[in-house]
Amino acid sequence: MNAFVEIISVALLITDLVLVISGRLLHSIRWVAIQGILLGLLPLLLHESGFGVQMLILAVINLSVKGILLPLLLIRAMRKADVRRELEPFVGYTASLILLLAATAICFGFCRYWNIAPGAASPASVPVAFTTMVTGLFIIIARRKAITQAIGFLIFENGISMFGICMMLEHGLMVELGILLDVFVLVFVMGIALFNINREFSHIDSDKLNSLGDWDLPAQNHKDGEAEQ
Amino acid sequence: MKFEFNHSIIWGISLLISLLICPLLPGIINKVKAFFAGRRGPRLLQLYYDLGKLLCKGAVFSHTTSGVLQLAPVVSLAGLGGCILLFPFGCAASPLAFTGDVILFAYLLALGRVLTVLGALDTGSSFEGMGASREIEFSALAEGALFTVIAFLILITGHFSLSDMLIGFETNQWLRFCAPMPLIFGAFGLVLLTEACRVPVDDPETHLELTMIHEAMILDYGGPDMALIEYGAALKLWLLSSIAVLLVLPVPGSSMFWNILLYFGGVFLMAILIGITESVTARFRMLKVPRMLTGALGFALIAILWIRIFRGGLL
Amino acid sequence: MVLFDASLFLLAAGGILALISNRNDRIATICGLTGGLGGTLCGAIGAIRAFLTPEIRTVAEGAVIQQPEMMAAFFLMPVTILGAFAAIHSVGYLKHHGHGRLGIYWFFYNLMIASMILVPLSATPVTFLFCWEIMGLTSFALVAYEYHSRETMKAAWIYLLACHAGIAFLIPMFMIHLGIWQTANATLWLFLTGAIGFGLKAGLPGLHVWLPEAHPAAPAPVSSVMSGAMINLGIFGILTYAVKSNDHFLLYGYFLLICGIIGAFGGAVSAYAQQNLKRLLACSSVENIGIICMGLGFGFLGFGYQNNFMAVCGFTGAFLHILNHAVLKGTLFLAAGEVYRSTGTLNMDLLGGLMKRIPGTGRIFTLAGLSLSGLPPFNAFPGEFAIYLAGFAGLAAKSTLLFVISLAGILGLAVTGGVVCGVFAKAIGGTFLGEPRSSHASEAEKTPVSIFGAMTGLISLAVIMLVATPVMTLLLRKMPEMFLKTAGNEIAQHSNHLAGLMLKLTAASGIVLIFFIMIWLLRYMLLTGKSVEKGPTWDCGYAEPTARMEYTATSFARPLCKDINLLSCFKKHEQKPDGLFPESASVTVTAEDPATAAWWKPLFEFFGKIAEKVHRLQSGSLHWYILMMVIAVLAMLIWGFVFQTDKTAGQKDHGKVSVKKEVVK
Repeated sequence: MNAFVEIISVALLITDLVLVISGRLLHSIRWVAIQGILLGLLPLLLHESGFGVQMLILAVINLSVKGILLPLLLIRAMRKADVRRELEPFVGYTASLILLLAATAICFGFCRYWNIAPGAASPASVPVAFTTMVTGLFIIIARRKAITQAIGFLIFENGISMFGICMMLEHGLMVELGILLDVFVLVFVMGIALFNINREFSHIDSDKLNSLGDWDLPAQNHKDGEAEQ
Repeated sequence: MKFEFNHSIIWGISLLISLLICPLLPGIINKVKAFFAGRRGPRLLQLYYDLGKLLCKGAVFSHTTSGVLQLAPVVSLAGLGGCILLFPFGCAASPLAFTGDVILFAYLLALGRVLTVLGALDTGSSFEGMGASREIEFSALAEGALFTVIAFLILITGHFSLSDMLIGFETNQWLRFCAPMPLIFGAFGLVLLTEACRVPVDDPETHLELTMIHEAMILDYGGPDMALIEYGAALKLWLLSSIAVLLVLPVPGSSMFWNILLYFGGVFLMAILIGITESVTARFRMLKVPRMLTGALGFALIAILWIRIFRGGLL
Repeated sequence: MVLFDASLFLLAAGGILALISNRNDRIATICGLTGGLGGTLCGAIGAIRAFLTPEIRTVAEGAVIQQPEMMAAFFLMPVTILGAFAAIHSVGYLKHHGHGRLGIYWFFYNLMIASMILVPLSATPVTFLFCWEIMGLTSFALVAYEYHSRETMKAAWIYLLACHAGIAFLIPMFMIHLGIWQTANATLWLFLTGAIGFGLKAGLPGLHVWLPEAHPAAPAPVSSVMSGAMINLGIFGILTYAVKSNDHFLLYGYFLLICGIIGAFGGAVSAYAQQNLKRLLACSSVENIGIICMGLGFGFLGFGYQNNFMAVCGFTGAFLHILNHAVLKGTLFLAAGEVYRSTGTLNMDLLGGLMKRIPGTGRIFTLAGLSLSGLPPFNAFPGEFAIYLAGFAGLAAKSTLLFVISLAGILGLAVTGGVVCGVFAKAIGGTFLGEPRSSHASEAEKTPVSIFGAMTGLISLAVIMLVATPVMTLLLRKMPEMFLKTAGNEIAQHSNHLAGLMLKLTAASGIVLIFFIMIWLLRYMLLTGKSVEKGPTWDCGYAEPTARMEYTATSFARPLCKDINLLSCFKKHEQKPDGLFPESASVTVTAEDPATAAWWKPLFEFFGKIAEKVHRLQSGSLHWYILMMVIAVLAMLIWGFVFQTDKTAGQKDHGKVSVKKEVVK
């Protein structure tokens, strides 16, 4: 049974790698959905802890919300805002990949040598959870589009929930549900906001929203990514 | 001693069968692609007919060429000849295997590639130069991923020879190391698609010379030389698919019959898999291929990390 | 020893006679060539004898040179053998270059070879430094041989600077070596100063800047000797003087291995970007020195972690690669020289189609290039094979650090191998294949006998070495033992095992050759009786392709250079077509050396600023100079009487005094 958890972990790692080099938004959202489904399967494979109701609820919620509902919402937002690609990211794709590889190595080494989570279901799953969180944060930092950042939040949340599932935390379900609600609201608000911002300013590059602030910023002269589509 | 002898016979027979049926692979891939596209497609044995036709023809060479062009297919095939002697056909270790032969194997493949590139440059054609340039670009990057996969195999089997590292580990061992297998299979799959010039990297069937890699390099060949190249490409595809199969296949060990069945079945399954991949993906933009190959390298490195950290490698 | 005496005598006599008869080209050539050939041949026989029957060093009291032990004899072999072939090549190469200056050439050439023979023979550090300096100066004179060209002189100055920067590190190294200068971490400082001082000669990464400058500027035979033999002497220096046996193997191992990985990969990538054929070969030398360092690094790490198999594989690989690189790079430089002689340019974008015009050179270059790419049936493969094995052995290690570095080594070697294939495909394709891209190439001259002879000789030697690889592996067995106190039985065992593998590699080469012949015969049989015609190259529908449409060497290399743009050293300069009727447009890609840009330029600019400030002191007025001398003498007096006991103040003043003395000069 441990082997299954490991295979799921590896698959999650692969989704992280793919997400960080993927430039097409639809592609990214699909991979996030796959990540959610994998995460939903994970509690079902942890037999040892008993096939509890808690785990079953968690699995169902994860599968339905992260695997289906949120991706659909994101796709809808994407269609409405009429963006398809992440053009000109702050960090290039190959560089992102190399950075993520380094981060993975650090996470693995860190978890191994300081033995962060002795009670985890599988020794491999904790570093993978950390790597997933790092991936999410990295995508939020290094990408330009607001919608990609929503995807980043979702990945980050996946990392947290994987950590929770594997540690089998007490009240894990409650915490999990709380975070999930946050993310859900976030994606929902973003979906609405995106559409309105897009209608108002004809772009959704979040770095350009800086100029909405009260303080004075020097004029930014980024190329308009949307114009090329 | 008798056991060894039996092994060698099985290896020899599998080798001969492989040499005979390797032109089937492109046929299978084309059939799968035709199935997905809703066409009937060319016959399964099409490559045999092509080879027969080409072998009976004469040849035309460019004024520009200086002999390297004629040399290239022969050297490539001779290099592949060296490769097949080291390969564990039919899950039986090659009787000629020795420590470190995996390096020889990889470099013999490189020999064929470099000679093909030189042959392309010999014609002075701009399209062939373009193909040659891309071939070098992608293969240099793929080499890194390939050797990382090899390092992974050394880490889990402890053997330095191709035969031992591909068929060396048995079912119970396989379960211990199976978690990073998808990563390794993915990494090697990408290397395979690059080396064998298949779709996400190179499209062998496009009509535009500008977008081809391998096919662009062999524009100026005809007759028996072309037959050598086509056969060499099929053989290379066979070898690489076999590696991919043996990579993920645990060898039962005891039963020769099952081994052989698994081997040949696996290779044909692999051909179908390649066909499906080609049907559902479009050719990448050239700029995207280096990114993909870095990804392959990343997959393999993570697999190594995994084994080293959670299994302690050989320790 | 008699042989070496004879060799040095012949070299000196030949050189001096050539210098005396400078007026007459023919006599100067005869004198120089006879002396050079005789000397190098005597030296070669002596070196091989000394290598096969190594004696225990017995240094007579007061002797300055001595019978070489095994390591010295090993490094003497490339020097003498390459020296002989390059001397023959010089005859043809210089026929049209430098009338009236041949005597000078031969004088410096023979002197350079003599000093290179003396370096490994030196018995004392002073002799060593003296010969090292002579070697630098004579080779400087040869690099500057075509002194009319501004670029040549610039290259020569860079080379001279590199030589002296090296000496600046070697003097403290010898001071530590002899115990004159005693520091806390003597071994560490000894190794670091030695590695930098000798690394400047060998071309370790970051210290390699003179190679891509001096090699293209020097006459081909000289660059051949410098690249094939002289940079190896840097490795010799590190192994003999900077490395103290029985100690600090991990330090040596990690340092050399990391240097090697960076050098091999960086050298290969920058070689791929070069436009000038000889510059490409020079960068490829950096790459090969990197591979050699990787081998040595694995060797030392093997000793450090008590993994003797790894040690034997690493060292054997490195030493095999030294020999193969010497012969092959020598051949390649001689062939590049012939390209330059017959066409007048080394720019690969202007060449092409030379395979038909100078076929002998083309074939030899192709063969040597493929060999140096490390492809299997050829020469450099066994060396790389052994280094790979060392890396594989390191993978199974307990130590995480060793595991990581071994993985990096394997990865580096693999990607380097891939890029190097491209480097030589570019060099061969751009220079010899396709259609000539300019009149330089289409009007190439025929090859003289002497040049062809030298190149053929060297490439035949390479073939002999390929067949003899297993024997050489056995002979090299004793080299790693020299770093250990005890001659381990285990090392011999591993060495025998490795030699067995090499025998199998040789057999595999033979099998591939047999396959080749069989398929060639098959092809021949299939084509007999059929029509074999000649036609134009397939032009994809566009009629009449011209040579202008060919893919040039630069465009061939562009995609990979863009992928691996190390420290963004490849710059694209383009002039876009402008307006409705654009007149001119151009794209050029240049490769700037990252080390030069990163620290050599700022360093020398800093020195330049200081020099400018100090320059003010040199006013040209005699009175001022005398005043400064008086001040200097006074300062010394004060220092002597007053501050002698106070240590810190004394040192401070001492510094001031020495600066002023410099100025007075």
